[in-house]
Amino acid sequence: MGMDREEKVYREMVNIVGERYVTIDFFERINSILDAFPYDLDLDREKIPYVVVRPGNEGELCEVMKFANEEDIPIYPRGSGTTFTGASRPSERGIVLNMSRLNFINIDIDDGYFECGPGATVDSVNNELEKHGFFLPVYPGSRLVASMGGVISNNTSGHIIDACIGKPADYVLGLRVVLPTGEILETGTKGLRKPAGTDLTKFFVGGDGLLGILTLIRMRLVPLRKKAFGIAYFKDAESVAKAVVRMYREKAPPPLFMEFMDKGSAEIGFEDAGLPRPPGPVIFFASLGLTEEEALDNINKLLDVVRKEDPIEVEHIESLEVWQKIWTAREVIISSLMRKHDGQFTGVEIVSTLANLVECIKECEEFPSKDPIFNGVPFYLFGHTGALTFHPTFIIPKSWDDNLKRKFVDIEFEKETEMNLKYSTCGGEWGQFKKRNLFFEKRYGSFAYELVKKMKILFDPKDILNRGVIV
Amino acid sequence: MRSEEVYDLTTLKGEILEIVKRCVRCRFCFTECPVYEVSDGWLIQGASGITQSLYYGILLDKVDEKLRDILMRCTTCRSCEIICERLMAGVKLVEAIEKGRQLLLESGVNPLHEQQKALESLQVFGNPYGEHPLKRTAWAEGLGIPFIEDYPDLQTIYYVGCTAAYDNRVQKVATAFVEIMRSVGIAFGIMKDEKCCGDPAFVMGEAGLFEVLQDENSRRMKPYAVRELIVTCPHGFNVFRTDYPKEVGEKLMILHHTQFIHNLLKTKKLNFQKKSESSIRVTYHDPCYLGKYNNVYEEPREILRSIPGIEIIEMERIKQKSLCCGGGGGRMWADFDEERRLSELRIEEVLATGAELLVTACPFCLVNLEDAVKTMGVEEKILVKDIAEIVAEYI
Repeated sequence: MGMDREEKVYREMVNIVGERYVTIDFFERINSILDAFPYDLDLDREKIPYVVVRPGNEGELCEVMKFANEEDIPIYPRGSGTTFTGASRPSERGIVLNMSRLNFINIDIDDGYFECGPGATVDSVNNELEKHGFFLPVYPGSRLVASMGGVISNNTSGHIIDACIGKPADYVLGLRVVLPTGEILETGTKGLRKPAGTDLTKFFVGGDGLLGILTLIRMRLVPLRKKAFGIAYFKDAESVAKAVVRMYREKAPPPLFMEFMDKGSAEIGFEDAGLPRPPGPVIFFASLGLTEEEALDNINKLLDVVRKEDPIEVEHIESLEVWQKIWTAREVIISSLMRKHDGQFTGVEIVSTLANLVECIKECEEFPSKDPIFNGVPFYLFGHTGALTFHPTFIIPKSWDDNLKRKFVDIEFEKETEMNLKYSTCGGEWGQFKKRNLFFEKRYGSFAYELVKKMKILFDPKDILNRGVIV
Repeated sequence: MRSEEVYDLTTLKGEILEIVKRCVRCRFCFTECPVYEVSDGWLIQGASGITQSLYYGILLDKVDEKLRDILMRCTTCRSCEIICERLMAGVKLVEAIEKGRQLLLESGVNPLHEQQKALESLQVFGNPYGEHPLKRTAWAEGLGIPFIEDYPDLQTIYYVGCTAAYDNRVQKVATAFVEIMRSVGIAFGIMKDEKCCGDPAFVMGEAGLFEVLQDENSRRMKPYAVRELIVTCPHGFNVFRTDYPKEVGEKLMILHHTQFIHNLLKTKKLNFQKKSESSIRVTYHDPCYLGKYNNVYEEPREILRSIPGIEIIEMERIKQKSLCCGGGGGRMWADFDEERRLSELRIEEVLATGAELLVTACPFCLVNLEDAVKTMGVEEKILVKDIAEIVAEYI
């Protein structure tokens, strides 16, 4: 039966997209279910697909979906597999859709928007936009390879602070979507005014890829802004949190980025970047303005607020070169830490409320005390503090047995759940399901969880799309 | 891969797993991988996809011909290691791939057909081209170059390498280099029965054969007073420097000809003549084994800059970001069904600069890029030369 099905799926896929874009190569199939978790694939839990398919257009995708729906074959669309919530490893055998061929980018200056395919990378879109004086208001750490389909399905802006520029959803004007049953849906508008009232776009932007597959993303063009930069070192993390709270309470203009590194990670990162040893925990930030003056004015207002928390040092960074060094220290921090300890990284995403930020940053610092499994494992804290987000991060030994690594990651997510529940928040960067199913149910109630499942069944009656991500 | 070590399969597998285990699977390396750039877009056709295949091939006991076809695609240009070093875990991806190729061979999986022939030729003739060893010095006939075997006091030796010795086109690089040496009056010699440096065996995973070649070359040089070894091929240059026994490097100053010529300029032993009033637009292609492996980026550029009438126009991708010509890692003997040839892609980048002369400093790059110029039919627009040829023209 198994072999028959494989053969049938393969033949049908060849009929739809042509032999060149279908493979049953064992190693391609293995590569197509990998993600960034520090443990190996366990083929009892994570299933090798029958085939990997690379549809070249919406029509082919429709055909694939119709076939899969008819035959009840799970479909796992895949961008670059950089998720941190485990959604890239299929729990059932099926078809993996590699979306890389749908990578077109059309910048339409006359209409004030751009359109791209889900397989275009964040970096390629941003580079193209910059050529015309625009930028993509999205900045995930994985932007070199992260796909637009993944970014929009997660509604993630990465490091960017929501209060400054918002989330992708604020810029998505409309979509084209192929539903699991094979219908094509067009949502939203070609105008620059987003729909008021019911807009089906919302189900897919931040829809965790549960309801449909994006084939076209239309977003408003955002003009490049001028930037100004600042940095502040504090005696402890508590003062960092207080400074951030002050920024919001005292109406200082929220910057595009405001990154935090604890003393340990800053020392290692700054050393690698060839910067002087930081005297304490650090925040560094980039303000935006339509003009140089406005950016400067915004950074000065921020610096004024930050100064009230008695930093060890605070500075307006005038040299772009210095800023780039500091930014690089943060960008490659995981790399620096992994090399320092010769291990593998794993971390979670804790989001605080504004009022609890001081308590939250202290609790994050104490994260390793939450479970004995964390004992003695190198631990660091950094994050997008301006967005009230922290990434407690461990570097676990490479030599650990995979079962232990899995257990470690599971406990990390348990603790993440506890903390985000306590603060009544939720992840703002990595998507909501798979490793976070329990969180979702506890946070919003089983009625809400069931409602999501019902909604999924409404769009996807046979539950073929990303089966197993929500159960 | 250290030549003096002997492996059993388990050790070799363990070492590969240990290297690849560091990989985060961020796939940043895909953005720099030249073979991925010209691939169909399957993950197994790019750096991390290749090493992950190797990793799971070992774990799931599938060290087979399919894995070989994946591993042999890599040109070992090192771009993946460079971006990984800069942004991620510093995984030695190329080292893993080279060890993977060794694992294949030692597990009884033969290399690709042409590679197999090259390896057999290396074994029998000491060069990968199926040429007779007696013809190795034919290019030098009539040039009066002494053999170190006859003049044991010579301190400088020019290691010619197989491609410059046997390939009609690349022989011109050797003669140009000899002309440069003569012009500055440096006494030097060549080896009568020079063998392949071993790089092709090394990168194709034939560790045993590499050792044999390495032993022979080291042994042949040993009795003489040689202090300085000059190499016009970056692959030989690299393998002498990093993979030959330490004693070789300690006894000998190993120099690529770009470094040697650069020294001549710095010490004012070499001067250039102006050839005409008009200037010539030149672009330089960085060979991977010279640049990405050995950080020799500035010397060739400084040489070109000091030639009167030469204007350098850089391509968009240079130095650490330079696009591989496709000739490394045993790819001179392995053809894949790729959408574009890397060398043709590179020539497009050359054409975009408006340069009329493309200079490089590696026989593989020279052969590949010149071939591309021919297949693209742009011989009228662009000439390809080794830096030694240009230098010889202006002295």
